[in-house]
Amino acid sequence: KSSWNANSVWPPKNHHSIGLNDFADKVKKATNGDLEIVVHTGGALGYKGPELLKTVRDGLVPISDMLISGVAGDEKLFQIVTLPFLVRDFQELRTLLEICRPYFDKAAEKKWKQKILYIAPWPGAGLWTKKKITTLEEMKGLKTRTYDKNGALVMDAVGATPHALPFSEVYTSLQTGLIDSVMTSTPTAVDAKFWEVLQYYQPLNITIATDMVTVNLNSFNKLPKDQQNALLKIGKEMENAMWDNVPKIDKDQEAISNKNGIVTVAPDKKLIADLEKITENIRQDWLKTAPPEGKKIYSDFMKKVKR
Amino acid sequence: MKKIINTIDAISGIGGWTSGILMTGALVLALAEIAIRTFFSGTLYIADEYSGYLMALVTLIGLAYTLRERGHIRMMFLVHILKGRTKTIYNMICLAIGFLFCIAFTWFTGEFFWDSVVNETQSMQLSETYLALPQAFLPLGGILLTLQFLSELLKGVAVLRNDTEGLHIYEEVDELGR
Amino acid sequence: MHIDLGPASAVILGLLILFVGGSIWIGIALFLVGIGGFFIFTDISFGSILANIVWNNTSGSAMMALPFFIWMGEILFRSRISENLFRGLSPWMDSIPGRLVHVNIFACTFFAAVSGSSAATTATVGKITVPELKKRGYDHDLAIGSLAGAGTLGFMIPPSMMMLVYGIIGDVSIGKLFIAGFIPGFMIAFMFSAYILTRCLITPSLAPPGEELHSWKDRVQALPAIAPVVILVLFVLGSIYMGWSTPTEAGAIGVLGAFFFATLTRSLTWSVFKASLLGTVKTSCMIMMIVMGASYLSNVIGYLGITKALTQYVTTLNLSPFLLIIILSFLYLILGCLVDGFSMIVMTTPVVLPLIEAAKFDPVWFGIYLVLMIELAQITPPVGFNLFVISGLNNDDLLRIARAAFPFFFLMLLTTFLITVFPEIVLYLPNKMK
Ligand code: NA
Ligand code: NA
Repeated sequence: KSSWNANSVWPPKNHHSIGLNDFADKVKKATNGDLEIVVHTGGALGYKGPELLKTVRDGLVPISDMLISGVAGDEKLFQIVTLPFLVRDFQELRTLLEICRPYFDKAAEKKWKQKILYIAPWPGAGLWTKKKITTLEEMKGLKTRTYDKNGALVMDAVGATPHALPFSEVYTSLQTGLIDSVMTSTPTAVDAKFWEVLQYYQPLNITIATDMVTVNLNSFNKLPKDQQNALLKIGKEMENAMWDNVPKIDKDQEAISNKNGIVTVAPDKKLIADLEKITENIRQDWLKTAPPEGKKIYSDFMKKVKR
Repeated sequence: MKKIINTIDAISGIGGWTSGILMTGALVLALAEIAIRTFFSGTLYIADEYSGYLMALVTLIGLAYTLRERGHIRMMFLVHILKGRTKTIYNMICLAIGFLFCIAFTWFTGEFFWDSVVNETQSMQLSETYLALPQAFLPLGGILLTLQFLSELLKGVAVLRNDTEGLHIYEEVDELGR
Repeated sequence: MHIDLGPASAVILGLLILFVGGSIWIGIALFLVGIGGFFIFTDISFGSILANIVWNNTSGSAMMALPFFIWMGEILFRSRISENLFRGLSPWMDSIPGRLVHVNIFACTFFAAVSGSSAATTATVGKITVPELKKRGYDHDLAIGSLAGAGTLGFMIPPSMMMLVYGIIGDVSIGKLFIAGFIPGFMIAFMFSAYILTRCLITPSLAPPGEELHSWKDRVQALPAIAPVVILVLFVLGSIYMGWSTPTEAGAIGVLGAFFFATLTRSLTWSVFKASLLGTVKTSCMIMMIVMGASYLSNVIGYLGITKALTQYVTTLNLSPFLLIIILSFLYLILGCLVDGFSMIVMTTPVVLPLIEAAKFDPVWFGIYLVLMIELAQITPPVGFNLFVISGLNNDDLLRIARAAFPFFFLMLLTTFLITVFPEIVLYLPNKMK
């Protein structure tokens, strides 16, 4: 009998935390309680996110959920999924990740001594604002909270000002007008109750973030064969279930926001096209310094989606 | 021996000043960001990220100075009971434990720093800063603190020998306004 | 990794008493207990976790508020501004029993509206009040006890770090939490002042009598001496509410303002600057060392599943709502002796909140209750941040400060009782929100 700690930095009701708990339950059932996974949510184990590749590699937690773009500072290849306006919807993201997967698996196992159990998306990142945004022109002058490099570059490109505030200061900053908009996805908006301080939601799918759940290779290899297979099999099941579920979660969370007074502004085709054009440099700049596998993934993906 | 003690004390003093200067840097950075945001609707882009790094730098580089100045607090219950030589020896045992811990601290944070060097870990913010740069201050602060514990131990030896001339022995006293 | 709760808790507690009681520097002692816990009960590489904790707890921009606000206090203290403040307040307070001790309560309440942290509130106010009260011959225990108690208001009166964390973890409106904090916050401040008043009526020697009773003319003439600090705090508050700065950056505004007034009163010399700078380094490094150690200790407690097991045990008891709160309070009081506020929230909320909701308590109410529990934890030894901060200010023994703070601890317990019996105290304002 063994008991493993598992880590999620997201709040307990976030879908990735719920997913990890489901995963733990299923594993417990499949192994007749021989492998128990204790999930710690909300960063209760003291981890913040960017360090998690190393954390799982060193076996500090045998299993952890991690935001791929969060840990991509350690592994440049992973940055491909953070490029803005590269994928337009969940379908394209899944296509991209299918191309990525063999390369990601290799990087995770060879360099980071861990095995990817499943990869699952967040709802796409949109703009949550005080005023309605329908054209590129209207994005100019926004004071937007962004959370990473590419988000900042996008806002910079459209003539808005990106502010990298810590999340704990976003709410009060919106209240006081220090910022007037936030780039994020529906679950975060619901977590932070943005309807108390914001009015509009523009679902632009600027990026669609993805999390992966990995297991320390050494811990994995020490398990009896049947438990190993159970982990992999349940990982696959989870992946499918999460991909099926997330579009629904996105809609549900959006509905919660709407019910509380946020108005969804369906994005104009022209706005999206303009945004794709204006952010082309961001993607090209990344490609210039990307590892060869990254370039290969990019061109394979472009071929596949015929762009 | 006195030369070693005074050299270490001086190094820790430099650490304290460095910490203060870095803090002033963080102040300037924060004020500049406020000014640019309020008056020009702009941003320095890196203010938030770098004030985070500066916080780590300020903390780590100032730890040794804080020890030298008796800034780190501890429960003095037992120490107050003891008198004279016993008190000095007891304090030296505490210092030795602190010294050993700091060696471990330096080692662990050193590994952590080196991990970021090897993997060329970058921040995911606009600056794409190599995290090894700010993280170097973790083991550096550890080394300074280790040295200061050594210096304090040596001061204990000097006190036991009754030969403290030319040394500055800081006492834990009721000094107001620390 | 299956760990028996009893032995694990006993070992941790034993190590804590050994190291902290054995006069090891608090920060290092907490680290050592953490290392001991990891070493004895797990085979995890505790060194990597240690380094990670050190980095994660020092490298956040929000942390910068701490040195900034401490620096502001240092400048006010080293220049003559804080002395003037007390001189100016004296004629106003001379007929109130307890006189200037009330400044602790008043200033902490005021400052809590600026700062989201209890340590920063205590350090900033204490830097000014502790030496001034001592100089004027006030009872030292009353001075530091009231400071320790009132400093915790930093968490109750918005903005509050702890409410933010709870709001996000517990899925509760942050705005409502902030608003809900006002009445309990002011109520606590009022009770503290009432207590000081009563104590000083019974034992007038606790607060030395002023030489004479002042006239209203004296009082008006004293206003310019009070003005700088009042303007400064209003300015810092204003910078937040006008949207110029975040609460963290407001600390920088505070430092700038303090420099401004120090220059204006011609008291900013090189030696004042130097002393304020190095004094800030000392205080914030001391606090940060303990923050790191406490976080590491909380980490091992989380890893060993002690909190989870404890809360899950309470879950199985099937208690009546009122009994549940009493048991939880005991649990939080014990936990609060060992871990920091942030860890108290993230480790217990996921387990406890469903219980609380099942017992028909409002989550907003529970948030305020939790903040109260964290406030209490700030002044209970061995791990109590306000005790550390005050000890750093004046070299007092931790146990002495804890003893001095006990009446205020008791008053906050009373508040907990009151809000449990009359939840409207908490819920009146948030329920008026749309
Ligand atoms: Na506050
Ligand atoms: Na405590």
